[in-house]
Amino acid sequence: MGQLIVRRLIFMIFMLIGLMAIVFAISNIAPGDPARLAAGPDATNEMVERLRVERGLDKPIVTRFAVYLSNLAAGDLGTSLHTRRAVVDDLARYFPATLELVLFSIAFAVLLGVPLGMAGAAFQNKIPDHSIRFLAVSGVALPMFWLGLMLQWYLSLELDLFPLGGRLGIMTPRPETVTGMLTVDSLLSGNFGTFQEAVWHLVLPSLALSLPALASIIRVNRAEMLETLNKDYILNARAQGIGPLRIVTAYALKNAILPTLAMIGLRFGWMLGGTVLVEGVFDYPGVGLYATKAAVSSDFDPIIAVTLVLGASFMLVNLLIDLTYALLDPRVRSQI
Amino acid sequence: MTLAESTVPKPMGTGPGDDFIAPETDVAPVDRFREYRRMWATFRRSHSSMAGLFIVILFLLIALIGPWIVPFPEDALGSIHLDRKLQPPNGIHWFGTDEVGMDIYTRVIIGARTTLWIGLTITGLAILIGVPLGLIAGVSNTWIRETIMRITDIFLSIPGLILAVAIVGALGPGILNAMIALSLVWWPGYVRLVQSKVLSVRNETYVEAARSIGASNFRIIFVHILPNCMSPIVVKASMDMGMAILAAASLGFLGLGAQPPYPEWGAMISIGRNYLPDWWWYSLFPGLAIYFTVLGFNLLGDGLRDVLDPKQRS
Amino acid sequence: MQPLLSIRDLSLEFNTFDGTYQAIDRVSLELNPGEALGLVGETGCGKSVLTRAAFGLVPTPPARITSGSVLFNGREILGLSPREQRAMRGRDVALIFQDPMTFINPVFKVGTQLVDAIRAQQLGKVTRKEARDIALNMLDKVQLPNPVRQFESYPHQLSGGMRQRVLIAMALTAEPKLLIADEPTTALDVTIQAQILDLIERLVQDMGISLIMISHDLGVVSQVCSRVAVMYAGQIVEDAPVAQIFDSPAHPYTKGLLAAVPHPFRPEDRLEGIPGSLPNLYNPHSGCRFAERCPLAINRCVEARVAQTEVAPQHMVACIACEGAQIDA
Repeated sequence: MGQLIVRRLIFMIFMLIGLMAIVFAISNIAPGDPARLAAGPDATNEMVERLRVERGLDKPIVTRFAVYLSNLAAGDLGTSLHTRRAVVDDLARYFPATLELVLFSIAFAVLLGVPLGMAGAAFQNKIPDHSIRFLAVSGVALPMFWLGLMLQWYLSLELDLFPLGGRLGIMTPRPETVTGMLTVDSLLSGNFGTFQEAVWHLVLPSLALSLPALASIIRVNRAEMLETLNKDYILNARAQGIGPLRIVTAYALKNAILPTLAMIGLRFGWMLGGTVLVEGVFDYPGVGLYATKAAVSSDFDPIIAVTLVLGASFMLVNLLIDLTYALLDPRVRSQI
Repeated sequence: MTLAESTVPKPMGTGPGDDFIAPETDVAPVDRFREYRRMWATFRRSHSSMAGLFIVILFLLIALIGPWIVPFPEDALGSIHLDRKLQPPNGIHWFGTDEVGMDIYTRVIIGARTTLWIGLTITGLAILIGVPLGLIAGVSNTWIRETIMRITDIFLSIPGLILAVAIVGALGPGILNAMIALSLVWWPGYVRLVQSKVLSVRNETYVEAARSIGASNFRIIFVHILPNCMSPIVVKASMDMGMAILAAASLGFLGLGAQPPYPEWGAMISIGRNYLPDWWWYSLFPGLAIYFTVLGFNLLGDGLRDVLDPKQRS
Repeated sequence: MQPLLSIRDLSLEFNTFDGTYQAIDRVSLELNPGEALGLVGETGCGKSVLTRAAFGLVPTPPARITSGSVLFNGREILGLSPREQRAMRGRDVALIFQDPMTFINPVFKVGTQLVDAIRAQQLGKVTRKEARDIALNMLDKVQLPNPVRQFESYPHQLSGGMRQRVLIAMALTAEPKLLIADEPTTALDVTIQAQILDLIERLVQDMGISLIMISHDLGVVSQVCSRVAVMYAGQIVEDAPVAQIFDSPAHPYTKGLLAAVPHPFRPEDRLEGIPGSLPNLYNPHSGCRFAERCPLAINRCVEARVAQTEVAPQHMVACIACEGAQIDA
């Protein structure tokens, strides 16, 4: 088991280097002149050239990539043009916020999606099933940025139930930073008022971000449950007189959850991607908003760094999912 | 019992090889036409599949004849009528008007054409890149396959939208660049799909048989393997039309795709959001248009999968 | 003596895309307490569906029971609520199935599944601890080697024979009145088959359980059962004591069936198949379904239902030819 994890982590490093090579290559075939962009609109040609040499932009791309990698190993991801800070510092500030949002959303999607999928299968082709399926097909088709806007319009602007955006109210005291996730930090410092408010700020963005994931989890779980409920071992369990509740929630679910897990892993990645939309709508200061602002101003160092961090998170989550798989399926467990 | 024995039948059967467990053979010979009719009957029985088909046909129709049925054709690519700006939905402007007085209904209808074009381009390019690579990766056993699959893995290891944002960031905002970026992140899915299908098909008995009688690789690919990949490709393409439309609208919303006043739904919402909550119709209707279009393609894709590729259900 | 199980005129059909599939056609069958009955027929002839439908294990829809009644101990059980049916299963009637690989849940420990089954059979009146003791005791009875260790194993760690023993243990802990063994040895190795058959035979006799053994193998049935019912395409064509079936089969189908099996003492005999194949059960005619393949068939065979006639004591046959023969005598 331990060996497997180490092997996977080493493999991951190679994948990430490959990923960076691709992003690096793409950002360098781009038509714009990064030196001129970095120097700003008022810079003279001389200043641009000086900056070009300073930043090593006059060297061939392979050299620059090697320099980038060695800087990365030293913990330097370059500088952001639009925040004028080191990218590492920006990430330390924004990434925990995004992680908090995504974890909230995935928890919401799983805790709601799995039971709904089960219910859909248990009541196949009856009224509850029809409404659950409607939710499932709608969820993946709704543009999450638009859903976010509509939630914002109705629930915060019209009904004033939720805050418009951000992570905390302006006047709310910030808890001491430990993890960077406000809900965790506020609990650690025992500040329940702040905790409540942080959760309050997370509700609408999480809802918008989790809907597509919720929908796919319902879909997969429902389909897998239906398939599992037709299996021979379920017939045997029924022949023993075991009750329907136990059959659905234990005998079938534990088999059906395995493919659902794969979907959860996949959807986690889509959620990471979705943060660029939802964070924009709710002005939520995370890496998604950071990446969008960088992309609009052709600010490459942050873009590459965000790609790297989100790619790494996605790979880590998939590793976690695979380990959970092994935990739940004795057949897989005995093979590793 | 003597009587029973007196009725011993004449010898039954044809020989010792005949097993009494006979398979059910009361099946008509494979008839292509009958097969299609059966598929259509299955498809038609599903309300959601039919709803999907209806929405998609309606969408295609609007995309085709849109410019000739809109009430304010001059608003399609941008015009200014400040005298009628930000009017709520009414009898003349069904979906209201925007901040420079353009008719939102007109622009939503015209936007269908943009959207169709975007969806077809992205899906088409992804198929053109992904399917040949998947075939090569599935057939070859060498480093070529390893290289293709590892690069595919890398592309799939990062959320597509993030990569697309990064690419547009490099190329610069704009509808064309957004489409290029999305095509570049979309093809790996087809490589995976086709490669795994090829791997499963190429060891089937009939392919082995074709190989054993000396059929060329080329013939095996085009006669035996590719037709087997068609159903999953068609199903995936239908789903991807919806997803590509959604992704392109997302880039439009972020300001990285189509630029206003270009009639694109995502870009319209990105302007319209500044006019919430009082001028809600500005972002409501383009959003509904995206939703129904994507829904239509998804439902259609679901229905096609149930008919063409029932094993892939999940 | 009141029969333990009495199926009368049971008909069942499946509504499918291609039309209505008449899987069971007016089947009547009786089983006395302590009796061991073999139900024989080709794959797909409705043996399994018949026994499962009687105890509410065939999902409706797509299946639909169109006529008939099922009396268990004199009590009608067809119209019971799902809850009442569930209370019967495991306690009054137990089933073991063909493939121990697929009928045991792969992701739960053997012990967990046994304990669950026992608690369900005892209607939750035993604690998990008590259920564990019952289960271990039962695993011992089915001669599972090293029961304490297997109790903590997952199914994939057990061989096919061991799994079938587990399933037999699961089925018999509540000492049901009736055991339905649905091809319990078909999926096993030949050497294991004999062991499992012996085990079932012994347990059934020791515990005084009635048995319905479903099989397509006449040899298996003759070893365990005292009576045989032969099914063809959803109809019971012949029902007789084992010796009668082998010595003087009356129905042409039974004869064909026997002619297709090598005789243990006359292996040099030529084996005969039955020409033709199973009839289409979508909208079948109401007569004898073997008529299309029957060398003796006459027009009347397909026109109306052929009733069962007693051609010898306890030997029932549904065949016009035999009926006629008896009348002539």
